[in-house]
Amino acid sequence: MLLLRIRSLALSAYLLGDGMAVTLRYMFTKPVTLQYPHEMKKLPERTRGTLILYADIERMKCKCTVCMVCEVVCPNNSIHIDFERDTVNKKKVLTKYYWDADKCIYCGLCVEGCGFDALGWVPEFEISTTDRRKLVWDEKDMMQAWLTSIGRKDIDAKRVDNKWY
Amino acid sequence: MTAPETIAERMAKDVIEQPVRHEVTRDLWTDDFNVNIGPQHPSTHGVLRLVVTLDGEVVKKVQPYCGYLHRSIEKISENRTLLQLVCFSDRVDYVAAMNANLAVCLAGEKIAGIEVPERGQYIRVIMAELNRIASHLLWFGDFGLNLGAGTPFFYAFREREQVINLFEEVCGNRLTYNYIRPGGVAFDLPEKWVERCQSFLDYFLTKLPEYHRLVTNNPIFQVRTRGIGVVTREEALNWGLSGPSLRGSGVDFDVRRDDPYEVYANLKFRVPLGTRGDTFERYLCRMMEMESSVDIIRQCLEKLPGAQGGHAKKVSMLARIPANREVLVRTEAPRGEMSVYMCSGTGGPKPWRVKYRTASFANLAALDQLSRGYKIADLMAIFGSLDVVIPEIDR
Amino acid sequence: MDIAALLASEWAQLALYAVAGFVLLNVMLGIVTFLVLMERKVSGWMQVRLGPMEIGPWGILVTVADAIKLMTKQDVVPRHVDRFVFRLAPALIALPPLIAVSLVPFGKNLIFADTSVALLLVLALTSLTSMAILMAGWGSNNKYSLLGGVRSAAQDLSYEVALIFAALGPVMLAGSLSLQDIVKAQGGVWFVFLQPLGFILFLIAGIAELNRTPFDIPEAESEIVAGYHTEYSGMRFALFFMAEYANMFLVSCIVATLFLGGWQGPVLPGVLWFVLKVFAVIFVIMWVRWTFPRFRVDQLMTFGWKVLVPLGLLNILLTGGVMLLV
Repeated sequence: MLLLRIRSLALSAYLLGDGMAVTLRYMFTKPVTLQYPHEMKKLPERTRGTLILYADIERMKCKCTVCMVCEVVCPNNSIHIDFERDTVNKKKVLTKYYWDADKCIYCGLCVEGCGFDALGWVPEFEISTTDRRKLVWDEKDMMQAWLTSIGRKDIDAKRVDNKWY
Repeated sequence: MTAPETIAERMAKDVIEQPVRHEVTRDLWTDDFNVNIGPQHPSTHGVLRLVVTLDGEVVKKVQPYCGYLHRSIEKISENRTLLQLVCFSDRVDYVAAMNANLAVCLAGEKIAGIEVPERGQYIRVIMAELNRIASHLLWFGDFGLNLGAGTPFFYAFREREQVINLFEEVCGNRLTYNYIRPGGVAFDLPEKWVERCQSFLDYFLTKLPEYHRLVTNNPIFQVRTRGIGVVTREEALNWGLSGPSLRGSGVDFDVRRDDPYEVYANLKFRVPLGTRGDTFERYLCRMMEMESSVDIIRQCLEKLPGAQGGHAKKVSMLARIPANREVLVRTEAPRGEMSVYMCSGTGGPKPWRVKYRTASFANLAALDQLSRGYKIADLMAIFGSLDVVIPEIDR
Repeated sequence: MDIAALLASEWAQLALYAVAGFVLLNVMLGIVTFLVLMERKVSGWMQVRLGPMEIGPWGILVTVADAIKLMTKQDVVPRHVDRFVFRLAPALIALPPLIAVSLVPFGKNLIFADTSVALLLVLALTSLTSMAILMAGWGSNNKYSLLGGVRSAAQDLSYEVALIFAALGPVMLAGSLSLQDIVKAQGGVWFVFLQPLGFILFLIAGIAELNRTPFDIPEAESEIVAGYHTEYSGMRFALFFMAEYANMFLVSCIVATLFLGGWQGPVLPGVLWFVLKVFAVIFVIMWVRWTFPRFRVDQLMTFGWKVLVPLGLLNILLTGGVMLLV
């Protein structure tokens, strides 16, 4: 009986020491964290960061034809489109494209539903502000977000590859 | 021990009559007191209120109050098309969103008669099993944290980060994916994803033995979990437990194997089974389920058909559900059995009613029975071993 | 005025003691500051991350920021507390380690108070901590704090018995209670090689005295009892915090003195050896904290009384027996 207790005590001591060895080993490996904001992770191209409208740079116009699919398919009513009819050929003309960045659930149905490649995602997630009203974007904000993202070569240089095995 | 009474009888009387599991000899009688483990608490995995009636250190009754995270997902779903429904199912269980997506998509496909191409089915199974690994990793980290071990949490999240990165490459989001759609999956796998997935699986299998060295073999952990929160087979079945909580008690039931959906019928995998029904057995079941998920993913990656089959059948935005149909679809979510009931009234693009039967809701109901007679510190261990997440309870 | 006579007079001695005491106090506060940083960094590295990095280069100024934050917080004294006890508890808990450190030999001639019963004094001072915890639990007018305080007092009491039994081994080997004598007796071989069981026992009992994982039930965050220092905020909480690290330093000093040879060591100066040994022990204590889960309270008491105390008695028996035979 005593022998059993001694054996179980010795086994417990060995197993405790084994667990401690695991922790000690990790103390001397490289950390897996990135020091944000000095280092940022390279985001994959499908990342749903911020919704943008692709812009025609010279004329600052977007490709939206006001087909309203995005507004209808949005499960959350985060998109609201204002349009008016062109008097000449009765086609819809976009006046205001509102996107609610704080209501949106970033599901991507609008981007998939758009048949004219007007909407897209950019991997830009730092859009927080201190004023909630600034989170309702119109089409100018969305086009600007796209233009800013294609020009941000310096930010991409700081993004590191987050693979450690 | 008195014969087990029906739940109705027990609810009719408001008196605790069952004998406690540990006999306490009373020389000094102290009053029972109620302790409120409030909605904000580091250990309740979310917002859940537990009112615990204690007699000294021994738990006499646990009364959970849920509803703090109720977002009326089911009611909202009554006014959404099949395509939009999936976004809300993400939030029903945001820890294992792919599984919830899959459950609701299976229901939608069954009710509307949509078929999924084979490549789509294989991809869905891969995603569901990857999410099972991620969910069990989160549970493992949380369980260690509940018991006081701070480091396994970080190791678990290091692995989980890899899974989340894989998901981000596929669909774009890290937690609420909206990837599995009625008809298949939203996008095909990006290039070289299969290689990255396989290298992750190889890496992950080298980490599992370390978890066992650090936590499972730890004598302190064993003394905290062995013999705690014992559920017998009959009790487990009566209380409607499912998943690893049920299999830890010796009931060999797994929806993937016994009621297969998708391509699970073509796959060979092991379902871990416990015998004693205590916290340690449930813990071990989940750890071994991670290994078996790796097995499943490897088989699926081998058998993945080429891209010519297509990854999805195109389903229009306003696909109609035929009138007067109802379906019940069962899946094996990481927590247990997740079923979705869908019925359509007069037909149309939107269902009449969507009901999620989530495993955590049923598992939480058993918490009272499981923890009577144990100490207050064991309550946290038992609660952790049931793997309850609050969004599933409240929806 | 005769300078020599002035310097040798009692007033000068007293003034010297006062200055030395002041220096020691400040050194202790500095060490506590460093220990807080060390804990956060060591725990970070073990958890494959880096710990605090932003404040100061590599995060070394983070404790300073914490101290400033705690000092500028509002001092909240809840209603209906026992005011005298509530206010006394943080002061009383911070005092014993600061006093006891003065009895520890840092070097060959570097000891503040060389008494012949130093070990007894140190152990008596650590008992004061239990009393202060009880006062904190009682004075908070909160049933959870009371529970935490009572549990902690019970734990401290039980493990002190084990601590004393484990400490008796080196006392028997050195033949004296004075810490300086015990260190001098380790000139040949350190006591850890002669008393491996005693070393392990003392370390475990010491960690239990410190209320650290795996014995940190009284201050466990994930239990309902949020601990005896729930109601304290601001500087009062800072004192509790500081007391824990000062106690950790003290226990490590005693371990290094009793078992690891104190300031004995071949080439380097004694103080450097002492510092190395103390920080090695502190590292082991932190390592243990971040690896293991915690005991349940009844398992803790079982372990203390049914495992450690018999092993301590066995240790004394073996030591006495071997000393008789050899």
